[in-house]
Amino acid sequence: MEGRPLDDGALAELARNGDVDAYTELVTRHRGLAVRVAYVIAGDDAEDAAQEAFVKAYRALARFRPGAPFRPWLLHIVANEARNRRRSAARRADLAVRAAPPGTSAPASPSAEDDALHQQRREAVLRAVAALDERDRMVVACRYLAGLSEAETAAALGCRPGTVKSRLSRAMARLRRQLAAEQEVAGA
Amino acid sequence: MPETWTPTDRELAALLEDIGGSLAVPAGAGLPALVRERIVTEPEGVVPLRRLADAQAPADFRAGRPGSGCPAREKDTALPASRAWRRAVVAAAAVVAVLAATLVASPATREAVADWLGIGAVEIELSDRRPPAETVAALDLGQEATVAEASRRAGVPVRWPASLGPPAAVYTRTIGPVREVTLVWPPGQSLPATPAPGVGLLLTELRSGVHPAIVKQVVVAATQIRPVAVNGGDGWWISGAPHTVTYVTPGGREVSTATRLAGNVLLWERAGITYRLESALGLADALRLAAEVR
Repeated sequence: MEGRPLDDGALAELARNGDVDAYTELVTRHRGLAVRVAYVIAGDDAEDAAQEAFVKAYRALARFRPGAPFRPWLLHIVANEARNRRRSAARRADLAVRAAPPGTSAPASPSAEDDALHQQRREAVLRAVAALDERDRMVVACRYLAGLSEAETAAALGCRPGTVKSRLSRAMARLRRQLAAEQEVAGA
Repeated sequence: MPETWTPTDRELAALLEDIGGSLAVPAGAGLPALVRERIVTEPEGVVPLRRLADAQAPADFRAGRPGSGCPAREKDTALPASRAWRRAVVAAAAVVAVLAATLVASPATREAVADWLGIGAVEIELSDRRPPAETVAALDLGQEATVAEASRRAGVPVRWPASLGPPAAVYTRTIGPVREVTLVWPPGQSLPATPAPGVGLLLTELRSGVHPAIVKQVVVAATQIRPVAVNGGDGWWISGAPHTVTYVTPGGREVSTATRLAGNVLLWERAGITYRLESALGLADALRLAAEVR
């Protein structure tokens, strides 16, 4: 094998016929996003979920249509594995936000007060997301927290892009209501 | 907060993406090695299993297979005298070894696969081009399998013409000491319909050491046999009604199998594997497809 690297489709085809090295390359290429998607759905179980999903995907390769895009197919398996783990987890791990150095991930803010406000809002939004029902939470997690496109979110969740759109707008409305309710309680 | 904060959709989305960028996502650095080790060492038994329904003894195929529409062939039908088998007998590969009972994962139904992957039945994408169950039974295609399983069971690297795309379904069937793999394509743009619902083309592959002998169904006068060149080797074009093909194994055993479709058959051997292509296609198209099986 010389020259340019193989694309996902070629690797998947090799892997389908038992080439373990080709599959390992696919794992290397996609583990970052796979773990991210698993994390936004299942929290700390992400690496286990991703591992299990990769193994299951390998065993399911015979049913993978050559020529189909590999990543959405994989993420579908990852999303389901992560969801199942979260359902059966005894404790619900909350998503942890890294303590970011000031001025990096937060938008430019002129004052420490704004920084604190921004951080408060982020935490409030995360709480509100955790309070969503599973379907809404998964679509928000995939689309925004994991940064998947609408099409990729649809593939990961096994629904149509139109469904993703409508679920998202519904979820946003619920998030807003949740945020308002929380603030009302705090203000009371 | 002084007044209630009511973010717009856009503001919420931006905030969520911002959060997404700050999440303490684990790196998963060890995944490639861990996954590799598991797929190499773990038997496929980690997923829900179905035992090979291998209990049935090889049928007496001389009596003809039920449902195939082919009456029993005559016991003493001579080989066409004009044929001279020149090719050396290639020792049969580990056909017997692959017939040893192994546990394989072969979810045959949509629901079983869905359960296996741990997701709801409606969410999985499966090929829905498989022939209906009645056709599978009527044609006695065999037991459904994945390409990988079929390769293992039959001891042949399963191949197909690239221009057809992947098959809609794969089946394996036991005939005496030999295991046959049959790939099915539905009728479509390039494949004319056959009398069998959901079936446009059958490609059967089996590991045979010897040239197959073709036995005509004596009662069916419409069948014609014509030698053709396939991929530079010997082949036969059999047109007309269903008939029986008899293979001779290296051990001298005769193994007969009926063709299923009332169409045309292109039969050829390459690298110790015998191929049988059944469809409603004409010779030129069949030869073109055979040339792609490499």
